[in-house]
Amino acid sequence: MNTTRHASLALASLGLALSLGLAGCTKAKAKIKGVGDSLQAFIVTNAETEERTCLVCTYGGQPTIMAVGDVNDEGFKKDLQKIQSLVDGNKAKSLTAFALYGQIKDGKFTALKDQAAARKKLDALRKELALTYPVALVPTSLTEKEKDYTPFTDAYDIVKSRTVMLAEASNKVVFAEVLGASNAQYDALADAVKKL
Amino acid sequence: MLFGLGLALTGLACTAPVAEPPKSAALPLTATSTGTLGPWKLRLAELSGQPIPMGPSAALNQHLAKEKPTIVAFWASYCPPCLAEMPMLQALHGQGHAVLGVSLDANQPAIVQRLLDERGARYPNIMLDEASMKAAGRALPGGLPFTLVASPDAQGLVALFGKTDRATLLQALRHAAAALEDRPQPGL
Repeated sequence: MNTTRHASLALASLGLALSLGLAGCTKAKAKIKGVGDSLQAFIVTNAETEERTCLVCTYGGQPTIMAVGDVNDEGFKKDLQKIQSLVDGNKAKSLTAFALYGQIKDGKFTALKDQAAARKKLDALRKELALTYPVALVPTSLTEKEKDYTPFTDAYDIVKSRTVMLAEASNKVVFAEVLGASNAQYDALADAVKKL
Repeated sequence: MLFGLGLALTGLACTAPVAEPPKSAALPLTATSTGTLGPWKLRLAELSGQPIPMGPSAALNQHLAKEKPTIVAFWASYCPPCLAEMPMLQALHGQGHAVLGVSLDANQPAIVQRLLDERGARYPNIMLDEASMKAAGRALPGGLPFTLVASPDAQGLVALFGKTDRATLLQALRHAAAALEDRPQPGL
């Protein structure tokens, strides 16, 4: 009886210790939420080239807009066109952008399950919207070669479609908003770009 | 006891090194190009934040080896593959190869120094200032990591895009050394 009780207590202690330790890990790697954070590198699949790459690294040293949306969100398409205008109008500042697609449901971002179909759909969308910047999707898992990277869903706290972040050349986020039906947030983004 | 073991295990998971050992397989150079660093007009700063008071390309020159090619590794704190390369670069430095790290983390010397310390990187490192970082951002063709094997007079002899490894860098150094030898000598 005593042995069983001791074993249970010991296991409970182990569980508590593991939980505390893991909580410590989570705290140490806080998710990117917005202004003042730095964009963290992560792997995406480029819908056009099918290449798995780190676009945050690719655009290192350049001001970059990261736009995250749900694959079924029609409003996000308009955002992407507006962002294209910003990119076109700010070439002198080397402004770059990329769009990142997934599924956002109940405040949670997840990778799209049928990656091949999603790639085709998103590449067609890129052409339809005449976007010059990459449209990408979050892969469902990382390969051994990509183990240096934190998965996107662990690195970012994206709860709504049309979340847009602007990072300056030093990679610090200077704008982070969910774009909406009105132009207010977009205007704020355009202002933030002006200040770069 | 189990409580302690649990904490120790999770502690280990938190502090597990991110670097991977150098790959043994030789990879072909991903790209080669030649060019000068001078037109980038990079202004550099010591990790202390003290600007290096010299002209653009000359500023870089003073950090390059005088008689052999230097591996110039551009990196940033937010670039995991850049950080993963550091132990390998340190090993090359320890074997007598000239290595120079160039951080794109403008105005963040404390972060830069901490990352170098955590990875045991003791080869020379400098930072770009904010204006130069923007220039470099435009100039880096494929983003980070970006590695250049440069001549003593800051000519880019070999450019490597993406994460590289020991075998590739040694191959690049041989290529660069041969390119230096093939240069016409003044007065000949």
